Amino acid sequence: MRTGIDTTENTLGEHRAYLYRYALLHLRDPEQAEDAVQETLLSAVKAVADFQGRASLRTWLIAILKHKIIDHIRKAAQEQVPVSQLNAADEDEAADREGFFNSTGGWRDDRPKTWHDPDEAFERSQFWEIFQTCCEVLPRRIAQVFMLREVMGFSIEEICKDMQITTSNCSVILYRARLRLRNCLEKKWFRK
Amino acid sequence: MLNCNQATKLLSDELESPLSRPQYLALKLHVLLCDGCRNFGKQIRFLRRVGQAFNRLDEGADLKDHPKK
Repeated sequence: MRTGIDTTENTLGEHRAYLYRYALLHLRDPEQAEDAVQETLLSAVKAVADFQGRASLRTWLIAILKHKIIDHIRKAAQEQVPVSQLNAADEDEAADREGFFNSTGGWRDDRPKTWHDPDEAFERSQFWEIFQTCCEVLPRRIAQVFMLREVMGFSIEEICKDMQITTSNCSVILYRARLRLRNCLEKKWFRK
Repeated sequence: MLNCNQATKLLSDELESPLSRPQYLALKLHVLLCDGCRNFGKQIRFLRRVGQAFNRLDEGADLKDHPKK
């Protein structure tokens, strides 16, 4: 015989793979992603009384997971030395220029083309796969800042505080993310 | 006159906070004359909507390597 809680635990387990993929996309570290999922499922089991049909189970789990992801990003940032991050950002900025712009700062070879009816992409599951692929090939910290800003919707001030970086550093990181993601989507989706 | 590298950085910054008056005017002038940067500006605003839509997709999103229901 199955009690209500058993059923819930089984159902929670079914979402594990999905939650793991989600956490990995944000954290880019298998160990941290696994921890965040564990913590989420644990919190969920404890708080199962609060759930009771509010929204869908997965939405609820993701909402918990988002808090865990931010905790992990915050903790990881505190363990890093902020100065080395600054240097890394400067180096990458130079790399962006080499990748996308010539020595006089003009577009190197491919200027951004016009995208026809981009919103049509929202309806296509293949587009979301490509979006995830493009996020996955971003360097880890660039991806984290982009996800916090554009997916989770945190303000740039909150992100700076959590990741212990300056506002100008954060804006450079976002710029790099946008350059790369835009380029990746154009190549993989809009130029098909 | 701004170059494209500087113009795209300002387009990105503009999504976070308002530019100074001189920066804003220099950027508008550049974008008026440069279709590549004009497209870049549109596309990073599209990218913002992609991020927001991805966040709302949570429940039904087909994350990669995850079989559809």
